Amino acid sequence: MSKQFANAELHEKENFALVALNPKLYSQATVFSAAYVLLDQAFVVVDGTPDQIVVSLRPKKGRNLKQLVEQFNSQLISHSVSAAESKRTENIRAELVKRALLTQTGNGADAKSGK
Amino acid sequence: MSKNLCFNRFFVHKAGSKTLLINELGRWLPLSKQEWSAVQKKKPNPGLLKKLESSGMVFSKKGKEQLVRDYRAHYKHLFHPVSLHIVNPTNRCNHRCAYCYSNSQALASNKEGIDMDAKTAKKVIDFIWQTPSNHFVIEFQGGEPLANFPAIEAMVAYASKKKPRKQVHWRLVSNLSLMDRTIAAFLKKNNVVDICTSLDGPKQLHDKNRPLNKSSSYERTVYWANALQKEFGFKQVGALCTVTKHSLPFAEQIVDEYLRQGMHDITAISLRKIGRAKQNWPKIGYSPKQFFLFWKQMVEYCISLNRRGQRISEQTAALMLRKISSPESIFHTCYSKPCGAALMQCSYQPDGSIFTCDEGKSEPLFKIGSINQTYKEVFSSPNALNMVALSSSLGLACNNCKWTGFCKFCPVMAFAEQGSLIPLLSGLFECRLKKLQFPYLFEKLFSKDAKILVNWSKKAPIA
Repeated sequence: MSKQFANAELHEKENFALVALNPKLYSQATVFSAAYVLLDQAFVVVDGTPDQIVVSLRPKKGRNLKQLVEQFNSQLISHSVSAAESKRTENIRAELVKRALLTQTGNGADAKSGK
Repeated sequence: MSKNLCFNRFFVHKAGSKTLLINELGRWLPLSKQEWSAVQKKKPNPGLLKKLESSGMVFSKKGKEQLVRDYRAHYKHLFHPVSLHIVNPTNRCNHRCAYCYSNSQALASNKEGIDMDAKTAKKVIDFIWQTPSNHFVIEFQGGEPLANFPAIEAMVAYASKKKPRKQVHWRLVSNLSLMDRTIAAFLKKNNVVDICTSLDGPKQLHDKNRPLNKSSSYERTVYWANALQKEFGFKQVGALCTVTKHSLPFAEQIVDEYLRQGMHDITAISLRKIGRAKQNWPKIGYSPKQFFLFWKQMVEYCISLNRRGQRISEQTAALMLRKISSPESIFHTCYSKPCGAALMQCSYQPDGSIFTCDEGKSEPLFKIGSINQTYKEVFSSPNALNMVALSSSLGLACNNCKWTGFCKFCPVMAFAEQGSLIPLLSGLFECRLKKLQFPYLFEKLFSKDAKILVNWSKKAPIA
């Protein structure tokens, strides 16, 4: 017997949840990144079809099923935002890393460097 | 309205009757109600337009050069190689501080693997000498660095003979309890005179936070802080105040203790949730709001003392105000984006491994190499460069926060608190704290206390 909770089907007796995700909202990379963060707290299976991603979450010992679903949804948003910001700022981040590399390898360090 | 009017990205914050426009480099412009209304309608008068251009809120031919200068100043620290080399000669310590993020081992522990041997000590200096820089700081930390004084002696002596000659500023961060006259004389003779210790407050509080087996850690620290100055001629001994749950009711008493010891700068440090602090969090920890209220009380007390002619400043406030005063980088590891980890600072462990920074040593993820590699190999390693990219916070929701130009992001603390380098920012201690501290400081900048605070920021030490 299952119960609906947000975007998840809770199977409380069997102690797992199935979270249904729209692949147009969340990329595969985002789903995997969000799931990865929870690997110490849950057994995770990512599956589905081209029209729907289904993530199965089974909490490890001592973890609460509902809280796990909430945490997973929070991680999805966090990773989605991060993915969008990363895409938007990839050029400037590359420039910053390039600059750091040039400085540390002795090419173009400021003549008055070091305090 | 100018045909060239094109707004840059800026954030809005209300501070009293003023509306602040803040751009992502940390340059800000206070507007009156009328001026804000004009900006919203995109109809600034010529005087307002000039202010918008010169503060980087509007793109224009006239304002372009200032904007470019601001970008260069903001990221200035990227043009300087590592300038702070933190060396841990040992991870042993005679204190058992509840918040130790080094997770130090007992003094009586087997030294193997925990103490730096003579060969490694020399190799550390050889490695440091490869830095492109001609001036840098070598800072001894631990554990308690004086527990392996021979390694310090060896490094200082070896460095004094190294060619080419480089300008080394030596610093010692120590609880001072293992200090003696021989060590003090050596430090003075070899110009290791920048000494920093911990003083958490009056005796009872300090001893509770920093237990020393059957002794008072307070008495030893205070004795040597004074003796180094009065007997050995050290100019100053600095101190940091780590705040635990036990400290929270005593903000004013802690300031009074610092003044009693002749110290006019106090830095209230919140706990880093790594090492023993993480394990002991239920006994010593607090919420960001609780720390903020303590810190605010301390700042207000320092301001009230300043009004009575007493010189004292709270250094976290001073540093944050310095950041607020200009987009220019202040060369402080923890107050920069990218942060100084693996860029301005690195940390050498007793076994010769090199980490991104002092806090980073707590987690293998933040190892960037070892002294058996070349300087170029270590600082161009994927871990080092990833740290630069991550700590820029440009790939995070930080980038959409109005405080982004002044704030910081610590990947080490994010990982320690949440086990992820892409954290839920709203859950991070430091993020929640800064969202309380910045509005408070801006409110003070528009109050009668502004002059006192601006003075603090001008004297804030930079790395």
